[in-house]
Amino acid sequence: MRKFKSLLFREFFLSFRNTHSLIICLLFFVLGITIFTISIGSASITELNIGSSIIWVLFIFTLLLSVEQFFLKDHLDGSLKELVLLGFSSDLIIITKTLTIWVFLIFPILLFFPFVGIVLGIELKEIYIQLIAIFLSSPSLILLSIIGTLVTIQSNSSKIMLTILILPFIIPILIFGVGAAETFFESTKPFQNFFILIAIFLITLPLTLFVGRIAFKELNN
Amino acid sequence: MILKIDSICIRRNKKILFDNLSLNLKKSQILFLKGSNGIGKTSLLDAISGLLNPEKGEIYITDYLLRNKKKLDKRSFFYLGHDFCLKDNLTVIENLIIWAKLCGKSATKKNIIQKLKYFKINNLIDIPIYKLSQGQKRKVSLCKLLFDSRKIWILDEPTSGLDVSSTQNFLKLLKSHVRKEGSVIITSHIDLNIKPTHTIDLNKQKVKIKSQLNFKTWNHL
Repeated sequence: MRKFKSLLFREFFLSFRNTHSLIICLLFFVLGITIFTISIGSASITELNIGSSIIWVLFIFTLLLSVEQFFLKDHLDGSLKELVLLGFSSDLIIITKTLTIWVFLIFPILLFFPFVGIVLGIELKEIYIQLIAIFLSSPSLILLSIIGTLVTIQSNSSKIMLTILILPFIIPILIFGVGAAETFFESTKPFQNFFILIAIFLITLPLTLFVGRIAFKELNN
Repeated sequence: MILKIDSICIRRNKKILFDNLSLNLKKSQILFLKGSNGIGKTSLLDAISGLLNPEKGEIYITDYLLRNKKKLDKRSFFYLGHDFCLKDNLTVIENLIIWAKLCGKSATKKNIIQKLKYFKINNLIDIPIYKLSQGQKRKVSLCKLLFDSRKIWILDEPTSGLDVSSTQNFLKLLKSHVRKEGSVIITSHIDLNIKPTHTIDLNKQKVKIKSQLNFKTWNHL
């Protein structure tokens, strides 16, 4: 527990001092939605009912572009190696990073979500459901992005490689996440999609930890 | 015997760096690894610290087999790598406080300033790392040794970037560690005038590349 606390302190402290990069990520999210609204037109978005889909796509891209910064600097300055040598397991590092990413990236996006939803003409009750769907799917999305980041750092590839690697695995989450509102209001099993998102997280977590162990070994080799 | 390396073979990037390499390290002894660039000094240190698994042979640290990680506490030795492991946007004191917390040590500001005086960098405590020169960064990194009480120090090029007086201070630090029955494994470009230093010229240990392996790592994707 001491190890977890000290590592969490480190991650939170570093993220606090690195808020400018996180603000840029949030700006990307907000600007992306603004561009969609201007180019398609808010009336068309409401008519076609694609507001939630737009938010989901930008949310995923923001996440994919931001996760790398939580690992790359640590790898380049040797801190990742130092952490392993100080006795921190790859599991603990991944879990702590996931928590930090959630607090410093996902939480602000969730705070922005209602405002962005109103701009896109999404109904308030649908906004609530989408908020829960993003809340439930975000841990899985972070974990998948971490796998991609570790692989791209190790192979010295670009962010495009990360996107190509991870997107196929993200599609199920996207399907059940975007469809959460429809299922909730129209299906006889309103919570079905929420349970599926939780199940995906329970599969992603051990998988990420397993791949993480291999990736850390490769990174240090 | 503090460290025993028994006929190890190290392979990195498809090349055999060492084959059948054996060496011992006793109490109060300095093992100086000498060799040209790319000969495998860092790889050997990585193998000793458990980051790189030797293809064959065994490494024992304080009578425990390195492969048996349950019995061997990784923190029984202190590894100071070639990288500074410092965060650019944090100040000197913030970096050291975070590092001390990770190590489970309680380091107060007063205590840290006291330690920084050893390398005469106590006036830099509130300066961010990105504003420091390479030599100053190295001194901050070396200050970590002053907090450490472990018996084995593994140091990779600790003198690179240091001026003459700081190098002398560093050598004094090594001497005092050896006097306290500590042992050191060090790679360096300078000759160490400390006794008892056991020098191993890795150029003489180098083997010709026996075979090119066909397996691919993520680097080759």
